[in-house]
Amino acid sequence: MKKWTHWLCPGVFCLVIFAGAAAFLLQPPRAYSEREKRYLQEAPTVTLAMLDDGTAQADWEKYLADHFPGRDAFVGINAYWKLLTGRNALEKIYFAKENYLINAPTAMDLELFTTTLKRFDQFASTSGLPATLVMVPSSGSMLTFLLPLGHGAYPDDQLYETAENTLQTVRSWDLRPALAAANGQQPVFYRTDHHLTSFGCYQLYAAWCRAMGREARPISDYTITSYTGFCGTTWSGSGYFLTPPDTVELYDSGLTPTVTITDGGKEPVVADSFFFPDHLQELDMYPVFLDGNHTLTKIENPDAPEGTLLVIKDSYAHAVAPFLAENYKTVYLLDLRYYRGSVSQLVKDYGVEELLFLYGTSTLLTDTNSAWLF
Amino acid sequence: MVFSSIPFLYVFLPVTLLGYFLIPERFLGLRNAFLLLMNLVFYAYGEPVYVLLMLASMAVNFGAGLLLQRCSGRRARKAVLVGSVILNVGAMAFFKYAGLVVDTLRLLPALNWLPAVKVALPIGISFYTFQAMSYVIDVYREDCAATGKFVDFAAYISLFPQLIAGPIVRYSDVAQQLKERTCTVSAFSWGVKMFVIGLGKKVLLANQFALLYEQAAADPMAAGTLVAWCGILAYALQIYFDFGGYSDMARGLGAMLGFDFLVNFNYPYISKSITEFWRRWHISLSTWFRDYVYIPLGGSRCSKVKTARNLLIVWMLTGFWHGAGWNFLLWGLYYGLLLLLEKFLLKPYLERLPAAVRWIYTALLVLIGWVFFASADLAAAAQYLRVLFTPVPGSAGLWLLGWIPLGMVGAVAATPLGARIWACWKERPVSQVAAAGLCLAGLLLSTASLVSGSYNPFLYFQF
Repeated sequence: MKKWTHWLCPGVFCLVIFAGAAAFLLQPPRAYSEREKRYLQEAPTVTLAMLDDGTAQADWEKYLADHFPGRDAFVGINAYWKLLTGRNALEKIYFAKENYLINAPTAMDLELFTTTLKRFDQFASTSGLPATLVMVPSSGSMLTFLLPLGHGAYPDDQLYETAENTLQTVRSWDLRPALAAANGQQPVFYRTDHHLTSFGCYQLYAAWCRAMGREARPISDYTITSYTGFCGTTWSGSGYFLTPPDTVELYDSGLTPTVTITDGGKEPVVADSFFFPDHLQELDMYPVFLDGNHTLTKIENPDAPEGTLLVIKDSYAHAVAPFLAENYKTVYLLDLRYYRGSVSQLVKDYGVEELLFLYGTSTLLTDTNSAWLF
Repeated sequence: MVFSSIPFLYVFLPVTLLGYFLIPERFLGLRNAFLLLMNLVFYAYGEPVYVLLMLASMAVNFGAGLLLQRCSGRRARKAVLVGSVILNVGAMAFFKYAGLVVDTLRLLPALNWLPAVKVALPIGISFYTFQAMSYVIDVYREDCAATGKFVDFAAYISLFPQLIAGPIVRYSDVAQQLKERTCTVSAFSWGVKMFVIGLGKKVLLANQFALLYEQAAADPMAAGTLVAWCGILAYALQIYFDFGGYSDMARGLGAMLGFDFLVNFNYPYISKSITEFWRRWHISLSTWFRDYVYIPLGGSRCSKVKTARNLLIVWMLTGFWHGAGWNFLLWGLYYGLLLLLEKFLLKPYLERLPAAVRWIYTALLVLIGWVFFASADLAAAAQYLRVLFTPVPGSAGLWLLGWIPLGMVGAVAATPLGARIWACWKERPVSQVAAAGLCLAGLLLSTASLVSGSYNPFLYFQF
């Protein structure tokens, strides 16, 4: 055997470990990971006590892993390696057909789901206001034809049925037929995110208007602007970073609202648009709708026919709210994850005339914040 | 610190290799001293306090060796031996079993006033204690000479490649290498291959199979019979690739540093009898018990009753060595009884059976053994066995298909097929190129898997 061939394995091995060590030392540290939407571990300070109980080592390992050279590339390699070795259906996010990245089913928790719905019902009946519940189905339950072999079973069927049997005061109906019918024309779900597209949101709005006996603003009234480069949460979470980015569409009817965003302990922010274009520069563009998550958002449209609507919601509502504002003089969006005051007091103070609960089914299986609805 | 971690691969190992090879080979004493330093850093990283315990163990056993060398009287020598064994076993027993013994005693109504004892187990104590004992016993038996160099001896006891998960290297096997060893490119190359193979086994196979077993074991009744069988198969592969992979990495690292450690796992899952399985599984432990317990007790060169007694003693100890829990004792006893059965009863019948039947017989018994080994306690083991052997529908579905590719890789990797192909092809230069490519792929994929473990997107999943 030729002598030089002996050097190959040692050469490759040493190259990798020494290059990894050198790159780690030389690269400037990153403070924030956009894909993970979190601040990375800071360089740990070490004390003897921390060494003794192992926290220094743990912090150091986190720091090393967070700042490992080419970290995002390695995460991607790992994801595609698992995909290639057949483990697609075992992951939390499926690599589905047509470049869709779809969340695996959320674990069934019927007790929590029923409890939440009963709380909604109780609240509506105490307030005496007309109330509806709109549940956005999980994208996987609607797009089963795209899912990989062996995917988990989505609980949505059972959830809609339970909702119908549980709710007495709150009106609820199945949004899915409307979404399914529309999905033939244009996608109602994003490929790289679990939310509804603007087109999907319009369908929700139109279906809701039909159910309530109101008139929806026709889709032809809207000017649609598209922005590409949207890499949503299933894109970030999956590690399938070669998936082509998605497109966000902004529907503009010419309406100029007054949007007031209030978070606890902060000065309210006032804007004259539903859209916050700064977020179009980011990987995750979804916060372009009403600037993402906030405690309380007030949208005013004095020309609208109806009065005041309170939407108790999760993030699915952010892209729906611009459509709802066409019909109401005032729309309040309230996030129970952040709001810690009395909602019934809020209803009285703001003269709320109608209630809408707008949630994704997956939220209703995991979120316990309906306990704050009092 | 474990080998399959970013800090080891990209900080500790580069620093160690760089320092080690910057010291010229002719200053072997200096290399050993540097190695000792890095060993202590390696150990102290995981056990900042218990590193003192290890240093004490080194001092005691080094001293015992010297004393044995000095003493000439039989009784004095025996006293030194017994003293050192008591100290070694005593320390191990205290740290490993005190909690279990007290917890068990507290179950008795008369003793329930005893305080609960929580002693953290020092990593690797079972391994380095056995190494240290082998040294003292070998010196006592005059199988090897006592060393006068504390640094060499301490470097041997704490040698980081095998410090925390074996193999149990005997002093007599490396005594010569501590005095003179040469590092060659081809040995280093072999070491790299071995290390990357071990790393891949641990990270790309064992860690993955663990997920399937955890899923099955979390709630065996809900998982059902099919998933439970897949789960215990996954566990068998997990523990083999975990432990065997660690031994491969240890041998590989040893080779890079100029040491030659004996093979510890020799394709145990191709065994066609339980006797053969234990000749192939964790060889350094089985031979340790054979040489230092079984044979001194009389081995099999005595009456059948005594042989049976010896076997059962050794196997209870083996079981108990693996962990402080009664399920481990039962697991050891299970193998002791199976080996007795084979030795005295089944051997002639087994030999007449076709190889495939013998293999299935062995595999089945080993899988049942793993149930005892893997379960948290006896009740959990009993429940898992019940699900295995009574049909429960459970959560089996098409998702199980996702495990087939990895399962097939695991099954093939547990046989000598790869080694045989390599033996035929390794002389060709193209094979070395391919090996280097595979090393690169294995290293990068393992790194990717380790780095991904820390990738925790804070995705407002619902909101």
